[in-house]
Amino acid sequence: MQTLIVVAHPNIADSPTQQFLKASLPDADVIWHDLSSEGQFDRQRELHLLAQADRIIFQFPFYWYSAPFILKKWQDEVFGGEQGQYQFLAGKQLALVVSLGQSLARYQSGGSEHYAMSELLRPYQAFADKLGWHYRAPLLISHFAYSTEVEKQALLIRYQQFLTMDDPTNFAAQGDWLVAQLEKMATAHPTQAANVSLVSEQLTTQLEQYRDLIWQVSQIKQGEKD
Amino acid sequence: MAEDWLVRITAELKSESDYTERALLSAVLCYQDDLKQRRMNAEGELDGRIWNHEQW
Repeated sequence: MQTLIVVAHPNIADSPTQQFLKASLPDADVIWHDLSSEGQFDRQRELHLLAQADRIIFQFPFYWYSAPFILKKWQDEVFGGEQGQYQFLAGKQLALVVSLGQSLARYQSGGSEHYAMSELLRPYQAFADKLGWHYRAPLLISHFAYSTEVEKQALLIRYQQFLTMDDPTNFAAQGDWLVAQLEKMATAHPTQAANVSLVSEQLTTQLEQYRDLIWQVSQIKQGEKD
Repeated sequence: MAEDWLVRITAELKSESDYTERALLSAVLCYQDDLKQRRMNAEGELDGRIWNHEQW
């Protein structure tokens, strides 16, 4: 799966969050597309980039309940005119990676920001709907600056899964993804391969047992009376 | 908690790994804990449904 990350930030070089995410990119087919490096957008080139991608990510810090202006400029310049002309892009996935300077708990009914992130990000969902794209649940990163090392490492993995997995929220699929990464690690480091394979095999076995249990439960549920 | 031998091996691996690989190994340990809990839950649910006399 090819993923295009459209990064909208006024100063990526000075952003610890964006630099961390950039350094966390997986080896898989991912293109990091920094909008701030473009003065005027070459519309045909942008459309070509979009056409090559299966999943498009809008990645930005949350400024005044929206993205920095360069993302809107990009949208306006690339998607001008009749919407029908973008039919060739239908079926793409759109997902957002949004960094927040405040706690996520503030963004809910009754919270100090009053509105949930799902409400505030609705224009991007509408944009996706209009183009026939599938809008996916966003990855929200709050308070990156206060994250512990453990939290940053967890974010790195979540980000890689978010970019590369069909359904990053599927628990069993997350396990398959971890096993695949361990196998890559074993291949890359022959001296560690034996130990990495032990970890991988243990995880694979437990995943099989888990899937079998879930299957058995589902079979019994099917046979139950109301 | 993950089993002791798994914790020990991942700690050894981490000492020879780069940042991304250390993140992966930490994620595997966390995942193992979640998986263990989910397996226990599923075993409990399976047991409860099998012995639910109202469904006999």
